[in-house]
Amino acid sequence: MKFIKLVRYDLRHGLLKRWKWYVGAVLMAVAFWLLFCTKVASYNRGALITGDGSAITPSFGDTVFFVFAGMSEYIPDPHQSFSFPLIWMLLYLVLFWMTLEYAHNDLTKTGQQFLIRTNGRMLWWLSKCVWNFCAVLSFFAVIWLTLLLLCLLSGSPISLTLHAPLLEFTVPAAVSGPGYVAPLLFSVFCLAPLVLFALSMLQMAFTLWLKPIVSFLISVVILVASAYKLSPLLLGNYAMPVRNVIYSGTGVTNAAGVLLSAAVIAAAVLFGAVRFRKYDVLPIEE
Amino acid sequence: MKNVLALEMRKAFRNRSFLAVVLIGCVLGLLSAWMCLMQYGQDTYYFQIEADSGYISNPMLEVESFYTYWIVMDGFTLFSSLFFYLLPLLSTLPYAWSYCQERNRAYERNLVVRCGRFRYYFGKYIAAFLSGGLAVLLPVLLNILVMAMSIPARTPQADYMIYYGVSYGDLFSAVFYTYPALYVLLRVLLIFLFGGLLAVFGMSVAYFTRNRVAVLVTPFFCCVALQVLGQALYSYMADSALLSPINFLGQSGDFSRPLWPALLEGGILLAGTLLLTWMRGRKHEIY
Repeated sequence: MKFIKLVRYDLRHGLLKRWKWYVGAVLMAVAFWLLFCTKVASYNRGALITGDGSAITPSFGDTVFFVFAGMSEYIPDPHQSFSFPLIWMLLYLVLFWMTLEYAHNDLTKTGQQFLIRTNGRMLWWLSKCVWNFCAVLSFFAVIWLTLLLLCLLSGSPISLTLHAPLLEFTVPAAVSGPGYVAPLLFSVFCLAPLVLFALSMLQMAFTLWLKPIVSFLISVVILVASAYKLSPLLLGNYAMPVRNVIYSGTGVTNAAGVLLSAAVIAAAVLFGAVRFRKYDVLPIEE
Repeated sequence: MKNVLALEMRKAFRNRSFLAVVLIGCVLGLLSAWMCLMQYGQDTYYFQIEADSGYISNPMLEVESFYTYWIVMDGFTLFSSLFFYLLPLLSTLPYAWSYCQERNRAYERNLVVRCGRFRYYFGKYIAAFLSGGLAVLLPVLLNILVMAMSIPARTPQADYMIYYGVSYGDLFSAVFYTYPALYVLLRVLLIFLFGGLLAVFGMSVAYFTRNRVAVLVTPFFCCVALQVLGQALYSYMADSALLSPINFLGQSGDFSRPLWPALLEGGILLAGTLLLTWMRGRKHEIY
């Protein structure tokens, strides 16, 4: 059985037949956009009252930045509680849930047939890696496209220009900074999906050692730890544009993010492959 | 009923998931205590130096109290944040999955035939509630024990309200400045109740799906979604900032923490899960 057939099967069953996840992603993007609109409206109202600035029409870039921004560095202080980047967490936790079970479930069902027919285990594992990449990318694409469509419908300019005063207000974590910077847009549109693919691969590899729910728990811990501590070793930091070195002096760089993500992806593929070679597929629980 | 309940209790408390969750919770509770003790030591040291040098005349000792550092009031360490963020997962992991597993394996049929539907479902309900509640309660009690052994329990003073984060109208604020031990008891009780309720919520999800992961993570996602909803409504209703149990069970900084979300959500969870379980016990085709 050819590798391409396996990938085609995974894309059909792991993406197309799981369309409800994408409906959920669309609804989530609509909810986030509505939240952004209410914040923009209160910014513009405030600007009119105080006369500090003129009303701003948010661009597509602003909307995407609002959803994926994350939070600025938290300095632990007994009199200042840690607050989670709620939208950022919810978005990525849904993605982790979406990619959590497919590979594991497939192994307990038709996957065993494929293992016999492909005459080897590596192709099955590599096919799941390709599926994981496509699932993460399509999740981001659905969110981006929904936001793009909503911006078009609401008459927002389709540009990637960022309005710093507006973002400073709508994303309390964001510090005022430059309006348009290519590396920042790279971190929003390229690095975030790459980081999430790396974390999702890590989660999928962990399901070969641990129960899926424990793998999910580890992913949640990584996200929370990343939000709490600005460290170049905690991968989640690279998926937060406001922690980019452009905005924060102690922030993380895109290059380090790409390198670390690539290393994690390579390690997950490799260790997953090594583990799967000797993996007992029969006594898996339903 | 007694036999079924005893059986369920044995299964709920003598399984590896329960022990693992309690262990994880205890590690988080102890790490939170350790960080807080370090902070307490540092603060009192500086206060002492400043007091000795005559720089300050009031060391504000009431601020440096057990009541400001135990896990519920600790909002600045990673470990307490993790504990309260993971609380919905920690409460479903011990035993909420059990019904789903027994249903998938058709073990439910054997038990229902022998002991009756009503007894089986309510036995499961009580066991899930107690295991979920205890799994999150024990780490909190351990943290209280360690902190109470290390830091004096100075009665909080309303003058230093900004340091405690318990303002007028907050959850049980009426007793915080007068009977702080009662405040601790009430907060611990609330954690136990919500741990149990989230566990039975997870169990009730299994009435509609056979997916075990969905049973475990649905309460968690509902709590995270409530957090986002609270933030969205905050501009219109300042009270709504802390809608989610993740927020109102732990320390939440500057936001006020009213009682009504806890009462409303607790009531809905209790009534909803009891109703679903009662309906299940009254009429459900097991084959």
